[in-house]
Amino acid sequence: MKIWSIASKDLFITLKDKRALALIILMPIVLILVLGLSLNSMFNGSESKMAPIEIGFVDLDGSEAAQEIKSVLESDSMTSIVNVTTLIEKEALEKVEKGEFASVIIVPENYSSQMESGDAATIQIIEDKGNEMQNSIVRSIMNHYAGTSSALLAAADSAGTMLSEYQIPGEIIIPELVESVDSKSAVSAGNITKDGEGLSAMQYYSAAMISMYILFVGMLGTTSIIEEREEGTLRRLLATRATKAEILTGKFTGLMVLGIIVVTILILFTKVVFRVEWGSSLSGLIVLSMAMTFAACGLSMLLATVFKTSKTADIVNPVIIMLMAFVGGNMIPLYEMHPSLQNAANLLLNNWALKGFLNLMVDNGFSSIITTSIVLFLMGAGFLGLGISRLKLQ
Amino acid sequence: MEIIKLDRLEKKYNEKTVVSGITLSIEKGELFGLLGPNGAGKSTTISMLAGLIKPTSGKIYVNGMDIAKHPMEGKKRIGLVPQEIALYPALSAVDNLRFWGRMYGLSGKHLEERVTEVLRIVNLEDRKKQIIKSYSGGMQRRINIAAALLHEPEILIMDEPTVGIDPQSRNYILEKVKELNARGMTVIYTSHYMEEVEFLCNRIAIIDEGKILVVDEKENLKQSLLDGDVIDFQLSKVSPELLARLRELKAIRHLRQKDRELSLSVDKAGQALPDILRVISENNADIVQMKVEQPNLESVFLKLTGKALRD
Repeated sequence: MKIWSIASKDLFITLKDKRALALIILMPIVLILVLGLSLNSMFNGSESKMAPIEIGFVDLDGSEAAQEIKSVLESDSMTSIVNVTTLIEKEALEKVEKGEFASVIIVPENYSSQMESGDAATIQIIEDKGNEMQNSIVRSIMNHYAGTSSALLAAADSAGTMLSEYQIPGEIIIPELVESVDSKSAVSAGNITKDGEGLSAMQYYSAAMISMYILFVGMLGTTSIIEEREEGTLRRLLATRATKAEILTGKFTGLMVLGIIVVTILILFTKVVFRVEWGSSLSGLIVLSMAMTFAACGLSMLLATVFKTSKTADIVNPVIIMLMAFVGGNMIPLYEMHPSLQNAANLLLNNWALKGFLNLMVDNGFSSIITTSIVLFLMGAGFLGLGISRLKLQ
Repeated sequence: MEIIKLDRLEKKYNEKTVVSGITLSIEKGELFGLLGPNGAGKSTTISMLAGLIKPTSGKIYVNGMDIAKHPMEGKKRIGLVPQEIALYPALSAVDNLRFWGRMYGLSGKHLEERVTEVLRIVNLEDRKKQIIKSYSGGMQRRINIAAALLHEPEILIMDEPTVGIDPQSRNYILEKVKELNARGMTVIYTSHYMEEVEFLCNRIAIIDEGKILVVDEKENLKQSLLDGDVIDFQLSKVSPELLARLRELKAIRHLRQKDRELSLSVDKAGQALPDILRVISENNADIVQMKVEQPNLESVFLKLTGKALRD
């Protein structure tokens, strides 16, 4: 009862504050529109099409089966999506480390023998971590290839006596892949919306702005706690029958609800008005949004212990958010940035949230955000724990 | 009947002792004054009593119950009016009161009845839907008090409740405090305004450097501690030379100066005045106003602490 009273009071105060609402709802919408329209070429190389993704191909098996994979990737239909270069392993790995390749596909030595003996054969994909969007496209292509070829092999196996030998027919797989590019999956990787447009800047910046502006929602929470401390209302709360745990849970709950409202509004608005495709996994979208909001709210509780006055918080907090947004890929796509910054981005919750949303957008499904969501929940729990242990209400 | 007992209460922050072994009893229905300059330890004592901070050592009993063991019993019985306006400026008075009522565990019809009642007590029923930000300082202070009355506390602790408000609102609040006390509520009142404490309280404790210097009935304090007079002057000018000469006079026990106003504590005004007037004249200062007064609490405070209350 007390927890909900504190939460609803905070929510009511924020919803009455037109400046706060403009900051957390209007600003991201305007930025999505401006950045989405003006930076489309940065994503696609042209107005609507994406530049082919540079990938390396390493054949350690030297088999026909390996060449079949390569031929699928080099087929006419796929050239607009990926550009494959065959290299030795060391060279390929260097290039992915430098960011010249988004991924390297390695066919291992025993690939064909494992396939022939009916064992699970694994194709290895080494990725440039700062290039999540393109990686998810390559992953999706290979998953689709593996799925289709497994189905064909199983069919051939069951035919048994009728077929003396079989091979994976590229002429069947390629149309399958291309169809999925055109219709729904991430093979289109980047070219994914249902109406056939690319993974546009509008999509990227919808995900980027939401995962950045959730930090501003957190900022409101930080300021609210500090202001209550300055104005003496937290002290007064402690003199009532509300416990410290109830007060903090109430503040956190109010902020969580606000965050979820904001994320829901922004996702719905971009979907309806800007026709942004958020992928088909609603459950993924819900879990990821909750995890991201939890992490941002946890961070806000920790930051409330860092700043002494609300004025300092109001000045320094936006600077921190901008830095986080810059490093985390919310302003410039990560693959455009220096590798050291790309590594640093892994420490930021906004980067994890962005990667999660992009995975959902390219229809990698719920499974693609499980790790991301766990990381975000753990970050949130860590921030929250540290914040509560340090927080002084008076 | 003893409603509050502080037993050797002590509070230390790191190595600094802020409250040093305070022992004090307050009877049910008393209007008790707590006086002390800034940093004397009043607010820390009040914060410990209201359950906001834990004492380093010592015990606090409310209605015979140790509040360290039963913190909620203390909070149920105590209403705290903080020095600052601890309200939400963006919310209306009635929404603020509803919120604070819920924090005291009130709900439903009872909550609405209590909100209406406290609005009536502070005479702001007709302005209840206005947001706090749009209220005058005096009105905000009244709602600040109302919020502490919602749960019908037996004890009301008022920490400088009239800071920064107009005289009309101040008088209104003082009358209300008397009224609440007359209804049986125990009130602990702290203020920098000596005349407020003198007007309201029957018994007073003077606290300085974390210790209680004296606690007694108001009249006893004045009679036992001061048997002299106080001469107040307003002069055309006050020079350092004049002050130095006055301090040399044996008849003057204590001198306090604020701009062109002097307040001199003397044994007998009649005997001391000729010398004082001579020194003023020799320093070419004209007397604009002069009055001789019986000792008041301010003089008691000065004698005990050696400093003015607002130092």
